[in-house]
Amino acid sequence: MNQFFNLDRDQIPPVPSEVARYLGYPVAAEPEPAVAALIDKAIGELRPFLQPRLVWDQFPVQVDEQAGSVTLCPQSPSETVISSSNLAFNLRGCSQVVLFAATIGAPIDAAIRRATASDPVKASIYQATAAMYVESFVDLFNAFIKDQTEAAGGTNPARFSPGFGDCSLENQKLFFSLLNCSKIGLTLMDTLIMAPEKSVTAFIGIR
Amino acid sequence: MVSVDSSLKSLLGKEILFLDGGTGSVLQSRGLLPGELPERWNLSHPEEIQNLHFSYFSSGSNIVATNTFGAYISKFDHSELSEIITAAVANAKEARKQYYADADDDSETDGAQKLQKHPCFIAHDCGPCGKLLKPMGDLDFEDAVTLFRTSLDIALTQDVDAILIETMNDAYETKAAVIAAKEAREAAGKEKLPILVTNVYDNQSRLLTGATPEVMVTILEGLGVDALGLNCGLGPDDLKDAVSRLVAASSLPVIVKPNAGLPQMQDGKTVYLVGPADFARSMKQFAEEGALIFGGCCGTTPGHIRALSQELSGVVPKPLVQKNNTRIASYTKVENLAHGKPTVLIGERINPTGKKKFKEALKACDMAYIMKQGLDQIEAGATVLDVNVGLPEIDEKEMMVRVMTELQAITDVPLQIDTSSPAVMEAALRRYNGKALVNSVNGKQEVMDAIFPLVKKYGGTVVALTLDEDGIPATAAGRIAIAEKIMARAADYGIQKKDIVVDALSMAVSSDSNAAGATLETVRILRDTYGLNSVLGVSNISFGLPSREAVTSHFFALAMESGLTAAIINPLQTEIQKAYHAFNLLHGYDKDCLEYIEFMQTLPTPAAVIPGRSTSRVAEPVEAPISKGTAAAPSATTSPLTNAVVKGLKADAAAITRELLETTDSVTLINEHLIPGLDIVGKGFEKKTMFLPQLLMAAEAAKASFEVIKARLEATGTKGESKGTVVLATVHGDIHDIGKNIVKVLLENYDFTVLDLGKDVPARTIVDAVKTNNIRLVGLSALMTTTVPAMKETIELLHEECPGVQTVVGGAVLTQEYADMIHADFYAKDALDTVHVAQGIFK
Repeated sequence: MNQFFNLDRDQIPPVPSEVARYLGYPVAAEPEPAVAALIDKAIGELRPFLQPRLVWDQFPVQVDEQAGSVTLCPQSPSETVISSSNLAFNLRGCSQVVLFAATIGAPIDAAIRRATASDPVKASIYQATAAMYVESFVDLFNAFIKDQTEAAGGTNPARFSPGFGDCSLENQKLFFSLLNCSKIGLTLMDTLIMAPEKSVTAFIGIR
Repeated sequence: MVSVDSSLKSLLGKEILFLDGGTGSVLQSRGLLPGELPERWNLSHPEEIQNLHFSYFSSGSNIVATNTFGAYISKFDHSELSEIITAAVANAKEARKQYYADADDDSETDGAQKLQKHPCFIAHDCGPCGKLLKPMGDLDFEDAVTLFRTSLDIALTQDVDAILIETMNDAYETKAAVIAAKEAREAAGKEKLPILVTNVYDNQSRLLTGATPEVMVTILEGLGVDALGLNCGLGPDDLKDAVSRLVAASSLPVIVKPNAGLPQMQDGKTVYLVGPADFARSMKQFAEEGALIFGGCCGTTPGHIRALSQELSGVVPKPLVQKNNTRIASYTKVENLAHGKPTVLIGERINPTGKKKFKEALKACDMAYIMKQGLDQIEAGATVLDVNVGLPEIDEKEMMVRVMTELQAITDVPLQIDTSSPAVMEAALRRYNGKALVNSVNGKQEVMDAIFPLVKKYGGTVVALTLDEDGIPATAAGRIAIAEKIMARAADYGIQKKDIVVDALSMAVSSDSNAAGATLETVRILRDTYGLNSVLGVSNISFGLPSREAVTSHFFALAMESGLTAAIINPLQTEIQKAYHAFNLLHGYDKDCLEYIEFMQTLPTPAAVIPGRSTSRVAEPVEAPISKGTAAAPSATTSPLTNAVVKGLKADAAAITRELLETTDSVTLINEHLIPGLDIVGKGFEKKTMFLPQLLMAAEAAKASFEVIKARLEATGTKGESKGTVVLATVHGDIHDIGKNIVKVLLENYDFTVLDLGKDVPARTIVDAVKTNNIRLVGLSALMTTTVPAMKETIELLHEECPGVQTVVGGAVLTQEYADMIHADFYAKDALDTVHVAQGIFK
């Protein structure tokens, strides 16, 4: 059954170095003070717009690395086969898989649109800051699953999203059929892009 | 005791009624599989569905919703959709029949144990469509209306008692569904069928897209639904704030349908922690507060509804209170028009009348310019924007909808739709995301009969001009008589007095010295005798006089004192602002004088006032004093202007440019100071020693400098020459425009003119723009692989119909190979690269 991992906006830790990375700064480079100040400002200004919402569920999975395929809910009426060698490799040895869809909401998109209309510098920094926030949120969920898995003596591979490697974006549709994404206000556009924009779907294997 | 024969309409607002509880969560516990569509169970497991409905009816539900939450044409083909919806109604009817039979049976035997037989109704259930509407997502508003309408048309061929629109996360989607319901009702000849609407609020009492309870009440009352409220989201205890605010704001019955708390994992099973008894107890306080319709959502069961109907059996329904608020709304904000609070400022600048630049922007479809007019006015304190785009040369309807939707994408203030064409008004009111001010009707029969039906259908607060077939009465009494006539006609259409704001008409005092007196008296009578809101286009008073602002601002103060509740003004005029802030201060609206002081601090000091603009609130930021040479120059030879550009110092760049222009001609200034600065940053960016924010900051600084140069050139009558015009667009299906916007900024920096068509632009629109403007270069942007086909299609159409044009493509997923594959003429790896391409073409 679908579960929710909805947090309060104040629970998402900001990571300024990640904002810099999204802006194109190499990992080692510190942004100049003027840019660093703008990043800090954006982190504060965008926080009130955050609506961290996540829906997830756990399913049995059968991985066939040779065939490059992953079967969700095998031998059940909901059986679904995903063709992707990269996903099969990622889920090697897993018998269960978590599917999740996360978003930080529509108001943040509106805030970025406003900035875009008035100030391109601010808009680019807002974009990067929002990307940081959604990743930071998803990291919290990932840690929660990791704790659960480890408590049960298992391990997780790194999370894996549709669009990575040979895992087609078409698989977004699977997330939207298995997870009640409308409950978190997340939608899939005809182009397979999600709206709101700052959103993530991914598999987390459990082995 | 409520008679079982009562109609739902007769009970709404008078009795406490019960809806049903959870459906999806119950069906899952009965074996619904992950990914399986619950609506199909109407056909495959009718007995389960009937049994569930029956359980709810026998637990006390008066209204059961059909199992059609996601029954839309986007998931089923038309014949299956039709079968599902028909079966869903039949299942509910069968359950009702069983309940009535059972209740009759029970009352004869051990009726004391059972609930008394109650009236049972069936509501066709409409959940969200699963898509976000533009501009947030990709679903067009009209497509959303059609999607809802398709299912509703099927449902209304059946015998249902109500339409329940529920679990709506977004104000705009809610409006689309309600319009579809009203139109389906009308087409089926069932105009009286009640429409009930519930939204999902979070623990901050907001919808996912930002609406508050007050916003939803404003919009839904405007649309004329029969009951409104909330469902899903949280358990009852977390929804106290939202319920209180709904009850406080609404004149309609309020629906409360929470979850049984949030789902939790216990021993590997999902459970909802709020049990029936706790649920019922929490709900009782909502009944005591004044909510009238109760039910449950996820995790609630027939047990919850039984406990609920028992707990509330002794509660006397609180009578509905009609609220006398005049409200308009955007999709996130409400603006109240009322006496006893500061006058609402409506910005008048989005209007071509007498504005050459604005007319040009409309003709050239320069949205950026029009948007800036909006943003500047909001910045200056306007809380509503008037939107008027009437110009003989353009398609007013298309332009109105475009400007309105683009303004709504970037601002959150309510809008006033200003047009004399009923067709334009209808298009705008239909698509407006919120409840708009409607500017305007007047006492002419023909105008009222054209506009009032639109207001009735789409909602709106009407500006009523006090003129009619006989012109404008010279006296207050004459104007009041027209206001009365308008109110009477509005009432015929079911539009209440509170949804009318009377324009007392401010007329040029230069042509009639009594003009101000008649207007002010009208405003006073409206307040004192009728308690009506009033509005004035304030500046008309000073028409034809010198130093108009002196007359306008004093008249404004007098009008506020007379009871003016809204003023259509130019918020960028300093004298108007001074009058407004001083009036609020003197009237006791400005505690501790904070707003007055804050406003006065934004005014330039006399030394910084730009000659000839002393009466305008400065649009540009006040320049900080420049100390030359303080910023470290990148090299000993660079000029302070080059340095300011490299450092991204916007204010410095503008100030230094102003200074340099005293001694240097503009061509030298651009070539020897500005371009070298941009080149330093550009090279740094390419070598990865400088990064995107610095590139953009430098571009903004250069832009500030260019603006000073341009203003100087215009003042001296020599117009700067553009290097060439480039069309930019993000292709159809793609709503990501950050990359395209960066390209635009840089191209403009290098003195190209950019015709920015925006995002999600169809190939045809691009081709048309190229043809009309004789374009040589088109830049196309796409972010995702899935939108590259749209790019290919656009290029094909361009090559086919505009042989001379060349294309440059860019975006996250594009490579040289991809660009070759789709036959683009150039590939640009970043914004600067696009500039190089343009420079090559326009050499």
